[in-house]
Amino acid sequence: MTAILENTAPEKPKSITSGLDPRFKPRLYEHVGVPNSWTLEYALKNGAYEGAKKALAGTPEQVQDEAKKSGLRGRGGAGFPTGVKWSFMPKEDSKPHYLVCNADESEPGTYKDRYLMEHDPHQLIEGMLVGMHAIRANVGYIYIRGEYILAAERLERAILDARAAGLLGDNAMGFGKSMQVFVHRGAGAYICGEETALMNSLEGLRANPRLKPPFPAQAGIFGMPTTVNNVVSIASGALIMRHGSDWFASMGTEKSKGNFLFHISGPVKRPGVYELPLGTTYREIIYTWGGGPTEVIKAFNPGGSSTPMLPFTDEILDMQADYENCAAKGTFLGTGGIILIPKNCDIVNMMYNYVRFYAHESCGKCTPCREGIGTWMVRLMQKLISGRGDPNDVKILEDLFGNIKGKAFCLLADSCIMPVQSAYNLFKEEFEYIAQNGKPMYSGYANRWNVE
Amino acid sequence: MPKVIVNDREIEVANGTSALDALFHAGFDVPYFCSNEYLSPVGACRMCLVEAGSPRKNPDGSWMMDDATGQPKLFFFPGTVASCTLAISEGMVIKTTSAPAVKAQAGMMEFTLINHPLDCPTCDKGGACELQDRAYEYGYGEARFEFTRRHADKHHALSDFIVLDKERCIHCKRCVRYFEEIPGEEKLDFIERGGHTYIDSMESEDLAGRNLGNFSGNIGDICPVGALLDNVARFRGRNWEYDCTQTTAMNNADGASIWVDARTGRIERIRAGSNSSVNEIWINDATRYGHEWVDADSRLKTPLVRKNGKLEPASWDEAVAAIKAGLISTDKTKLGVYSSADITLEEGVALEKFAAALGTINVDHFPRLNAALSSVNRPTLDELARADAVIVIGADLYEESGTTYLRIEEMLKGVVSDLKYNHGTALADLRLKERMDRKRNKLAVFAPIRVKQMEHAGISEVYAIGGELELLKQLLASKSNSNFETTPAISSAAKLLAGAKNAVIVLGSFALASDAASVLAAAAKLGAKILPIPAAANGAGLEFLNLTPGQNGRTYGQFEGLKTAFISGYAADRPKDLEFLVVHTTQLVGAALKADVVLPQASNYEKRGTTVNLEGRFLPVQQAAVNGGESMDLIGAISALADALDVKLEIRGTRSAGRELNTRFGLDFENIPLEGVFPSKKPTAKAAATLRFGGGDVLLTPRMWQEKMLIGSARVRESIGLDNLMLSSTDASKFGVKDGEKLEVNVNGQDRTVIARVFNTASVPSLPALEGDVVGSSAVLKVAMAASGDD
Repeated sequence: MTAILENTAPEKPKSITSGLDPRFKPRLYEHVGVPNSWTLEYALKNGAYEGAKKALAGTPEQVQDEAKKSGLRGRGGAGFPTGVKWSFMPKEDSKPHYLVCNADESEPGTYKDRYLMEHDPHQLIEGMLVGMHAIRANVGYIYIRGEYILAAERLERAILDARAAGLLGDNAMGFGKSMQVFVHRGAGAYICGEETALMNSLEGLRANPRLKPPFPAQAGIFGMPTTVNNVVSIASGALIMRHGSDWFASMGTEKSKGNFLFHISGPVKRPGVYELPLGTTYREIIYTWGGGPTEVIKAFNPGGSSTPMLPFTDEILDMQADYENCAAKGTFLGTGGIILIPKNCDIVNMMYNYVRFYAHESCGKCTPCREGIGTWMVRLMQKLISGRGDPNDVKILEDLFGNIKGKAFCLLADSCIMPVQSAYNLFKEEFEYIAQNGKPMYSGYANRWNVE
Repeated sequence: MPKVIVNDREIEVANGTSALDALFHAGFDVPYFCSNEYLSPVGACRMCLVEAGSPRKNPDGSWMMDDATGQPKLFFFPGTVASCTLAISEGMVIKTTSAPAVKAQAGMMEFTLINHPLDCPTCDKGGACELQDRAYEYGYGEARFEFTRRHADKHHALSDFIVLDKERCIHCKRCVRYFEEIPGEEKLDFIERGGHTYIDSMESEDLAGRNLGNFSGNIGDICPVGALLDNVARFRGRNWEYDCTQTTAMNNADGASIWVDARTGRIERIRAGSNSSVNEIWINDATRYGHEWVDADSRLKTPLVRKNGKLEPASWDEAVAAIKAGLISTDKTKLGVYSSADITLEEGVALEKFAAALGTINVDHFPRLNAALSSVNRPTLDELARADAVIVIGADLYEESGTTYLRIEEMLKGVVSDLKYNHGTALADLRLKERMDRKRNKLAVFAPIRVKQMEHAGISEVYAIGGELELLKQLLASKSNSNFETTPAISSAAKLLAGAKNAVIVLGSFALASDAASVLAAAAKLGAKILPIPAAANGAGLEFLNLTPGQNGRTYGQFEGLKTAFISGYAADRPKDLEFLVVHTTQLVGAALKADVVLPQASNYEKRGTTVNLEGRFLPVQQAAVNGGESMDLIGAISALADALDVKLEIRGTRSAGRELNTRFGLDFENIPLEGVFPSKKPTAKAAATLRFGGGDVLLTPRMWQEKMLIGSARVRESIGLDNLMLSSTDASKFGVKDGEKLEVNVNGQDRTVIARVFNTASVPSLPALEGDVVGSSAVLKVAMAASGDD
């Protein structure tokens, strides 16, 4: 063992790209599932707020640089480098800045933020302190999904505790700076996960996406410079300050660094959230950690319901999960929420369920989403699965993809079209079968969806 | 200026231009529903999809080149983009007719139509509908959507004047944005989400309690479909049946452009006209809905002559004979000739010449101020919208002058929609944003009561009634000496004034009522431009004519010693001691009831001529296709009078009046452009004597609705709230009236309910206006009505 290390010493140690690598240790979910892990007492015992202390001792630029060096990319789905995003905030202005944590986790198949906030709220608050310092903000908002009642309660409790302990407040951690964090509970709208709609909702307005430009860094909530980050991005900020950017950069592939929360749902032995380094293969995630599928699988969404699905083939399974590989296959790493689709589940049924979700969640601002998805597509799919379809409906459906995709105001419409279109491209015969024969090709889950 | 290539045409447009404007400027067309000239671009309807690409620069500033062509490489947006929210850049290429663009537009049109009902044959917008037109031009022509359309309430009343057809709404958000961006009052919003989204107001569940403000009617004009309907005009006719006339509104001095749509001789609808330097495309609700009196049953269409103590219909010949019999033996040089001040300049000059021919000095117009408005340096409304400080004193502009109110709201936003292209005002001005920050600290409002505009003003104060001169004095003192001790509001307003380069002071009816001359003189010392609100529609024009009494002549309202009189317009009561009275009016109310001869008056929609608005802008008045029966304008009435009195007249028609005016103002009165013109010769105003009234220890606060609009329309009477009657505490105790008490008032012979507002001052100054009676709990008071807007 020693000999090997000596031989490789001049070279950079190989990046950690597997959860099985002995050097890998979960950090984000380190305390999830431990009794009383959400208390301040437990958190302080386990090194919480050390990262924030380091951050606040330095300048905002140092925190930004540390984040840039770590290679942290936004964990909300788009994967924009977090440090770069922080550096977009105006440097010298008299306006108040705001950090908003997007905890409106509503994507089907995604539940990573929930356990993090429920079991380790102090990690998020520490991350808020780091992020707020990086963007020179004195106020941070955690916009949390309304249905996350336990998470919101624990966050609020944690904020009160942190404030009482002097970690937050007018003189946060004794650095003479006012740092306040507030929890804002949403009212149950998926669109609030879109950053500009979130800002409208936070201001008390109707949650419609806003026009960009101006970008949030120029004029966000209340017209002031604002940065919106995902829960895991912010929590990772705290970890990077605690353990250093080198630790973070030691994991992952060339352009996709760090640890990542993958979560698996569908017919699998052990569904759940798994913290793994980026670059872990899908085979390892699904078979080693998820325990393998319990049924024959035909495809999966790699990052929540809105990412185009990938066929369940050896080539895909051996692919390293990172931003670039997914993009090369025409999909996205997204939130890391892997949804396995069993062969026996008719894809049209499943896509109807997807479309119904997006139709329900469309905000109604722009035409293609409101009318195209909200009225037409959902009814067309309903017609198909109820057995009243005809082959022409499939042609119309194909035409609707083109008429909606890329033409809507925000990404919600595309988020609906992308998985459905990918399903259509992969399993066209299932669409044609149901249109032709009035019954699904596979009927394993036929009774699962309530058609009418 | 950056060069942009639209399809095959290269054009140059200013930086910051939207792609939508660039392509219209180049002469191409795309469909759009959510964009509007005066509203912020939002990109909601997604109709204006085009292909667009632009070259990019290398870090060293040179263009990235395409090796194949040797030209700068074009980077196209993936798919299509909405052109309304896309800013152009140097070298941008926009394709509106390429296959992907055409497919995208047609596909979007299909989406817009799937839930839109096919009730065009019964829709008021049919034939003038943006969706209908665009569907013909850009749609597929055939429907593929086979499911049931959305069904919703088709007769959802948003207010007494506006009905919403929820099925027809295409969610362009123009109306929602309008309320927030133009009058600055959030009255409507989307409710629900996705396919269930609909427009509604949260003002009140109950229709009676709903108040969409004074500018609500404009949403019907800008609605691209027949979703927001004018309840007054609803189902009255089809668009192609209307005889449409663009003219200038004469219910107040704004000079707003309007379209009068008439059918079978009736005014069925009034829409806002477009005049980018005056009212843009907005008018207030009184201008829009206050036309029912013209066609009301109470409208006079024949002359009336008193026979055996009763007024009976007669022909014009009989009327002339009756006037001759009544006046032939009297002294013509003592005849009092009076007209309301909402007549055209042509009518005014005819009246002037008639008075001269009679040799009488008893001539006047009412209501008017005792000073010439043109004696101060007035700003144009565009200058007002671009001012860096506005101080409103003694005005409730929300009621008195809607256009001034809206232009001040525009000033608060700091963006005047003035970008001009080949197709007119910019369709998508990217400087306009949703929920823009308002520069509230640039506006100061002072008034004797709390007025609407105070809600938007950074500086506001309620001053003691009648305290305008004192206020102006303190402003001046505070402006020249920052240590001057005064109220915080006055001192901040003075600071604002001192730091401004283009300040404007707006003076309204409260400030100008009793002594306009002194107030204007005091305001002039402040070194800002001054915009006084005239007391009536053409007050700013008639002041240039000889229409005020000569020395020892009788002003309107000061009739002592007068034996005979001719009054054109609404007069409250027959002056005492009068032996013979001829009234020229449209409705049989007030003094007309006690007149000896009543002549039917043509409304301002039925005549041609010229009016002057509050800026001093000369605007044309056009004749709409309205059947006024035998009614005549003032020139006609004067001709009848001249016939009866055997007086020879120089002016017997609008044309000859125009010729007389041509020489005075150096303008071609036959061809005044619709957007108005300022005369080349600066005319001088005649000195004006103080207009005096008999009573007047109380006054009604200004109101955009005029008496005649209330007379003519039950809808208007029922929908508007109660007027405030202002009276001093002395009077209040004398008559036993308490603050907030409801009183029955008789104004112009019409019963009205008002709310008493008691002020702790010795007296409330009277406004130069009409008289009436207030029946208090223990006595009868005389009322002087607010001047502005009323004739």
